[in-house]
This record gives sequence, structure tokens and C-alpha cells, in this order.
Amino acid sequence: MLINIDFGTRTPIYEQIVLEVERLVTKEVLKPGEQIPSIRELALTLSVNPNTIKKAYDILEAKNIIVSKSTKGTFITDNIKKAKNDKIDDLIKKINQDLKELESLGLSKEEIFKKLK
Amino acid sequence: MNLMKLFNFNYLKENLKKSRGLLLFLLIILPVLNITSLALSLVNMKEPELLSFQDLSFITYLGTYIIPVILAFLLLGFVFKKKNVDFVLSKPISRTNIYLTNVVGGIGLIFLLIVLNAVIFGVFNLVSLLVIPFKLIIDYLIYWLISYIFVFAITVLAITIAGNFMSSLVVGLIITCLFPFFYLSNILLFNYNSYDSYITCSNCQIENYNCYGNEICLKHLNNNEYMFDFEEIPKGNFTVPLLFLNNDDMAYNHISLIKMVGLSIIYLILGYVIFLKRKMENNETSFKYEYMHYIVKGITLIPICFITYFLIKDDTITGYVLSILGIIIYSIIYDFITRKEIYKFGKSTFISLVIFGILMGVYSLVNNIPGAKILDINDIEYIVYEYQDHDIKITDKNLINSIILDNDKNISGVGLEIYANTKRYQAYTNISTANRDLLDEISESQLQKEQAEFDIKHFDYAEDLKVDHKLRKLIEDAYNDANFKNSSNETLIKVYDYKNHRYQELSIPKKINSELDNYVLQLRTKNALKYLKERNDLYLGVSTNFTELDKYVFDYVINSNIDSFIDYLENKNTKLTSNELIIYSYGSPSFNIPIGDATSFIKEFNKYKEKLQNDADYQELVNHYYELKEEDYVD
Amino acid sequence: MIEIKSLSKGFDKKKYVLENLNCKIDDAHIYGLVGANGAGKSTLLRLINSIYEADNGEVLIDGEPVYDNVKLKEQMVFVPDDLFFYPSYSLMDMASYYEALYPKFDMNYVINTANKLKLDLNAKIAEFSKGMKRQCALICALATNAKYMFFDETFDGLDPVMRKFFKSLLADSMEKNGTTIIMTSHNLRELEDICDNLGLLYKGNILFESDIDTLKTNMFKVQISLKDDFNKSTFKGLKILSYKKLGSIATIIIEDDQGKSKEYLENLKPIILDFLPLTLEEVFIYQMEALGYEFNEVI
Repeated sequence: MLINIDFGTRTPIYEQIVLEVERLVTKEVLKPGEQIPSIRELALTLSVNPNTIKKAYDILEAKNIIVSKSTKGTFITDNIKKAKNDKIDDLIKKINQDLKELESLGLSKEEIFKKLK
Repeated sequence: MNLMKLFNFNYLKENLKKSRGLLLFLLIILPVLNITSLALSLVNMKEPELLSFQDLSFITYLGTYIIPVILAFLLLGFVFKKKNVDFVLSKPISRTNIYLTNVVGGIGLIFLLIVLNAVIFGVFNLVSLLVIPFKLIIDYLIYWLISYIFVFAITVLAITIAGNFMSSLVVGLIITCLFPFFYLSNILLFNYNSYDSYITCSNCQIENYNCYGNEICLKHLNNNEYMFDFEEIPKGNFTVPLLFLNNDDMAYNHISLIKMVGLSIIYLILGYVIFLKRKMENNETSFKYEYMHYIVKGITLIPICFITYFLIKDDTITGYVLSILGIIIYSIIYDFITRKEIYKFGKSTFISLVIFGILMGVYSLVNNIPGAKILDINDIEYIVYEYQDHDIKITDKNLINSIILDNDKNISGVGLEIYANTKRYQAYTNISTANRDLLDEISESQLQKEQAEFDIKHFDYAEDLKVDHKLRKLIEDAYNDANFKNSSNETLIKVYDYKNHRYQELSIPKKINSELDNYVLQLRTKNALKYLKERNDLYLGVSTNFTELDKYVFDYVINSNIDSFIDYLENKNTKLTSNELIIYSYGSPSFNIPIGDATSFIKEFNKYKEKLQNDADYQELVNHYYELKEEDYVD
Repeated sequence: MIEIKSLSKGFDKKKYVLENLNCKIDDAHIYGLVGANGAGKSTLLRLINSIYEADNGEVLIDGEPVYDNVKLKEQMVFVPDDLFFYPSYSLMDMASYYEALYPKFDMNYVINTANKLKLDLNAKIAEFSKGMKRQCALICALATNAKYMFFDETFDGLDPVMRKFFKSLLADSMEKNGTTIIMTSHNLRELEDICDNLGLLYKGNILFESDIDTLKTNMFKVQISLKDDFNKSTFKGLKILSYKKLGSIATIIIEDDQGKSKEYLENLKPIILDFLPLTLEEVFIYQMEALGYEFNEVI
């Protein structure tokens, strides 16, 4: 699993990991049921505090993107639909925000869509 | 409590390993030097030689103030380096562990070192002509073990007190030397002007004289020429080994040893307490508090000012200038060495000069105390009288008073040692015949007692002879002979036994046992033959039984007939008669050839001379003798 | 858990280097200590490792005082700022010194790691470069498998590749032993990526501490302009650290949950609303300002 961490940005490392895993899952680079590296492995390869990885995995697990099976390791959930939907919701929300801002600048929705194409 | 928990041997191993090279050097340097010096003394040695405590100790003594000091610095010197402190103290080992482990480790190494030397002496005793009694080796072991541990303890204490290397050396020197310094400076320097001193009898009840206090008694003694030249002699119970004073008491002194043991324990406990409390952040400066710096510097000024005192004693301007300059320079150097900076120049110099002034005052006060020492007769505990090379202790008060107060004084120049007020004085005086006889009588009986106490079964050394079974048996028989005690004959041989930390001496007279007499003669002849057979450049001479001419040509005659002479010694020189003589070999090596029967030897000598009648060189020698005689060059 | 209770230490009677310092550090965490030179970072580490004795207060680990406590110290290892090696020692000798004192020391770890780093185990450390010396010290420390590790100026002298390598080793150790690490630096950037918590030491005291993710997400800069006139009290529902108004635009530093704040501000119908990220350094500057300190004198 290839995750790039940008140590320079303000985004916390755990958040970068969450976003990156989400991205890889929604793009199905990581397939349902696929095993992902353990906290230890990832911490070692990224040279990152294991607590940070743990925090990211906790969030991913809460979001139902991964499950950890105590002895075997950590896996992408079988059902990634929800994760995908959540991602779609997120993006829609973001677009809506931007739309709102464009509207506040005096553009109508039609004009905006026109320009987008 | 588990005692082993106080030590950490893993730590000790690592702490020793880090300086293994130097440690190994420290451990082998003394053994190597001792072996070398003993081996060198064996070169050319033909007869057994007895070693004294001083002989044995000399090399070890040289190491006293070096080896334990380096050892302590190797083990505990880490406290002077911040980096090193970080490294050691952050490890899982407690301060107690660190201190105790290093102290025990250091003592262990000292033990190893001294035992190693003792073993070497033991081996030399067994395999060489050197005689080193077992008891002497034990004394060596105890004495130097204690001395080395004592110096080690001082250094450990100094390290825990001081903040850096130089300061700890200064503190160590102060602990070691300050009290001996006071003592010695008092004796060696200030005492010189107390040479002519008096013994008084403030309370003496002598009818003939009126004693109204000191002055009159003094006058009385003075008028009767009982003025003693006496001198205080160090008793040697210093807390430092001072072999160089070359005094018997310095060699093995119980009080000194007990003091050293006691102080070592105190110093090590004190060191422990200070080590636990030591502020590790304060290393690399001399002392934590400024006032400590000044106190220590002040103490070091005591001996320095002692020297300057003699510079200004005669009130010369140059003396003052030099002294003050010297003190200022010393002050700067001291600050620089201990603190690595010129530390508060003005204040520091001012304090040094104030201390200088005070010390000058104190020294001049001490020095101006009247030179003459006055010793009350009642304070005399005992006197020691030398009789036939033996020190005889006289404790009889009446006899002491009688010797000192007696008017009749026909025997002059008797040496006495007077012990009073825990000091020892050397005195030369005149005494009466009666007192002298009394002294001799006491001495004789004391000597008899000493003789009776001599351990004849286990003596270590019989003068210059290798003690074999036969000799030992013969000497024992002679000692047990009924005539032994009453015989005041010439000494045949002296035997020595190391007992009570010194050699006891016993003279075995001639003619108690003719078998012994002859055997000793044979053994001595054998020794002499060893030298003779090497035919080095010997010069032989005799002092008795021969005419002047014979004495003059003696060496030439013997050397020309050396084979016959050796044959004579080997086969005919077996009996000791009352008419004996000794042939001396001058130069190197020098030795004696004992001749048991002078009459027979003279006959032999005349034969040699006859053989030389046609020898030109011999004739020339004889002629030369007569020429010299005419010019009065020979007797 | 490491607990530091009202710890004070002075090197002479008048001036304290540390004064009444309190701090708690959870197990299996990395605690970063930042502060200018002379703030007392090294002194604090030396006190924790019983190199110095505190004038007042104490350091506890799991409720037990640490000072001169061998049992606890077997679980502690300290790599000081100024490294020390015996003059003639190789890495192997050094490791065996540690091995003699640390019961859980792992010699194979030293050998393997040294091989990976191409460090000669039997060469004299004294002849190594500064970075290699640091590597030796870190390897020995990590090989002790101690539960508590203390690093002063941890990565001093290491190049970026080595830093990354040793960060991995730290991560490994934390995973393996649940190691708790306290590390110091005068450089915030160095600690930012690896620490869970950060404490700022200033003149002998921890000015403030926080977990690093909260610091990063819960503080942000907002540029805002409203239709109507407004002032600071308009935003009284938010925790404001700094407020500056220039003309009709205000720059506000808010320390609060970002989502909540956004909602709150949007409800005010702003003409302009920009959320700007803060670097950790800026976070510190504003925190310091809020506490009444000049940032420049602190770090």
C-alpha cells in the first residue's frame, strides 16, 4: 500500500492517511477484503509515530472502511458501498458550498453550470 | 539486607575494562621493578644476604603516592566530566553501587598488587641466596596494604569533595601532608635553635640544694654541667609512610598503622556521604562555594608561606618584595589551575596577601619562642641506654634521677635517649662509675633475658652462611649448652630472627662446640673459594701474625701460588684453633678468607716464599719494600 | 506513566533553572519538549534520569520515585545532547557496557542495526563523524529495550535519511515494548511529525502543552467581513485568541472546533469568509501571545 505523506502541510498526518486510504478504496485500488499493513508495518515504512497510524485506523474503522480481525490483521471491509456513498456525499457537500459562494458573487446556477462545461 | 546488592560486578568489570591498559601497567610495574632490582642484586652474590623491611619496601614506597592515586582517578574520576557523569549516572546503577563497587574494586586491586609483590619476595626467598623471612613478608603485606589503601581513601575523599581534577589533587595533598607538615616543620626547622636545653627539677627534693622554683633548679643543674644536648626525634607514627627518614620507628609502626586504618575508614565513609550528596552539576569548577575555594587556597598557603618566612626573616627588602611577588604569582597560578581562569583577580590576591600577613605573624611568634627546651625531670618516663649494640630500656625512676642529678661524673659521653611527654630526646652526658655499673648490670640481665627469649629453633639467618640442617642443629646445640650463658668469648657467628617486626640478634660465641666452630670455618672457606676460583682481580692482605715485609708481599706470594693456596683451603683449613687469622680481599668483590690455624698457614706461606726465591719480580718487590722503608712510607 | 510533581532545581541559590514544574506523560506516547537554549530542557532530562538531584519536588514513574531507583532505571535510557564514549571504545565495547547494566539488552539488535547502517562494530567510535557517533548512541539506547527513553536533541547531526531511519526504529520500539519517549529539540519542525504531545518549556516551566493533532486542527485563522458594522463582541460565541480589524476586514485566530466555528460564522452571513491554515509555528506564536509572551524570546 502506497501512501504519500506530506510532512510540510498543515493537515495532520493521521488525516492524510485517512484521506489517502479512502481515496484508494473508492478508486478500488484497495479491493474489498484486501489486507492492509499492520500499524507496526505502516509506522515503520512511513517512519511515523505508531499512535498516529492507530488514530487513522481507528477513524477508518469507525467509518467502516476497514476492520481489524484481532489475530489475522487489518482488512478493507467487504462492503465498501457505504464508504463510497459517504465519499460521494462529502464531495456533493463541497460542491454545494462552492456553488453557494459563486451565487453570493451574483452568478445564477444556470450561468455556473454553463461555465463549468 | 543482601550485601551483594551493594556491589555491581558487571559495572566494575566494565569500569576496569575501559582503562585496562593503564590498569595492567599499574599492576605489573612494581612486580617488574622488584624482580629487576632483586635479580640485579643477585649478580655476583656468593653468600646469603638478609633483607630488611626497608630493603623490601623501597620500590613499593615509591609507588605509594602514585599508584593508588591513579587508581582512584581511574575508578571515580568520571565525576569531573559532565559528559561522563551523564553517561554513568543515567545507567541503572545507584550512587551507592557506584561508590561501593569502585571502592571495593580499588581495594581489591591494591590487594592483588601487594600480594603479587609478596609472592615474588617469597619466591626469591625460596630460590635465591636472598633471605626474606616469611614474617617479614607478612609485615610487608600488612604495612603496604594499609598504606596503599590509606592513600587510595584520601584520593577518593578528595575526588568526592573537589569539582575538578586539579582541585582534588590539591585537596588530596592537603589531607595527606598538612599534619605531617606541621609536625615535621616544627621538629626539623623551628627546633634547631632549641639545641641547648635543660632538664629541670621543679619539685626535686634534694637536701643539699635549695630549689625555689625553676630558675634555681636550672642553675643548680647548669652549675653541675648537667646540661643536655637534646633533640626531638620524630616518633614515626605518621599517617603517611615516610621511609626516607630512615629511622627504625618509621619502618613498622603500629600506631601509624592503626591511625591509617582508622582514618581510611573515616575517609571512605565521609567520601560515601559526600558522594551521595554530591551536586553533579557543579563539576568542572574547583568548588561549589566560593568560600571553599578561598579556604583551600589559604591552607595551601601554609607551607608556601613557611618558605617565604625564611626569606623575610632577616628583614631584607628584597625578601619582602620577592615574597609578596611570589604570593601574588602563586595566587594567580592556583586560581588558574583549579578554576581554569584568572578568578576575581583583585579579591583573590587581596585574600592571599591577608593570609600571607597572618601566617608571617604566626610563624614569627612560633619562631621567637625561647629556643631552649625545658624538660622537667619528673616528666621523664624512661631512658634508653645502648649496651653492646642493644637498646636497653631503663624505667627505674630512682636510677634515672640519680643519673641526671648525680654530682660525680667521671665517665663522659654516654649516649642516652630520653622519653618524655610522648617525645624522644637524644642526649649525651657524663655519668658516674657507680651509675654506669648499675646501667651495665641492668643491661646485662636484660640482654640475658633477650637471649633466653631468642627463638633458636626458627631463626632466619646465620650471618653470611646458608643455613642447612647440620648448621642449624649445631647452633641449637651450642645455644643449649650449659656454657652458653656464661661464656663471654669472641663471637663465632651471629644469628638473626625476625620477630616483633625487627631482627633479633644473637651472638653465638666460639669454643662452645668445636664441631660448630669447624663447620662454620669450612662453610666460610667454601664461600671464599667461590670467589677465589673466579680469579678476578683480587688484592689479598692480612693484618696480623705477619711481618711488615710479609704483609707487603702477601698478595704477590699468594697469587703466584694460587693453586697451592686453593688446595690448602680445600684440604687443610678444616679446624678452628685459638690461633686463627683472616685474609681480606680488597676491592670488588670484597670478602674474607678465614684461616683456622695461623701457625700451619704461616708454614705454608713460607713454603710459597721459598718457591719464589728465584723470581725476579718478587725480588724487586722486596727491594721496593726496603726503599719505601727508608723513606718512611711504610711502618 | 511519568509524573513530574512541582519539580524545582537551581544551580545557585538565587536562580532556579526549573521552578515548580508539573507534567504528566502517558505511557506509549512520544512527548516533545521544545524550548530555547537554556530553557531547562537538558536539566529536566538530567533530573528525570537521576543525574541531578532535585531541590524540590520529584519525578515518579508508575507512582514510584525515580531518583537513584535501580529497578526503575533498568527501564530507562538517556541519550544526552553531548555524547560520551570511552576514548578507546568501539561500538561493540560500548554495547557490552550497556549489556552489563541493562537486563533486557539485545546484542543482536546492535549487530543487525549496525550492519544495516554499515557501521564498523570494531572501529574506534572516537574516529567516527558526529552523525555516526549519534547513530551509535541511539542504537545502544534502543537495544536496551527500555520502556522509557529520553533523547536530548535527538537527531542532532543526522541527515534526513538517517532521521527517517531512526524514526522507524522508534516506531518499532513503541510497537514492541510500548515505549514512552521524551525528546527535546530547539526546533519545532523536528518534533512536529513524530510527537503525540508537545510541551513548551520557557524559563524553567512548561508554558503550555497540548496534543499535536488538536493543535493542528483546532486552531485556525479566519478573514471575515460582514455587511453591517461589527466588532470583537460579534464573535463572542467562539474562543478567540487574537482579533485584528483593518478597515472592514477582520483577521481572527480562533481556537475551537473547525466545523462548529464554520457554521457559526456562516450564520452571520459574511461577505468574505476565508479559512486560512496555520503552521505549527504560528500556532505557537498565537498561543504565546495569548499567554502574554513574545514568541521570539521563547524559542
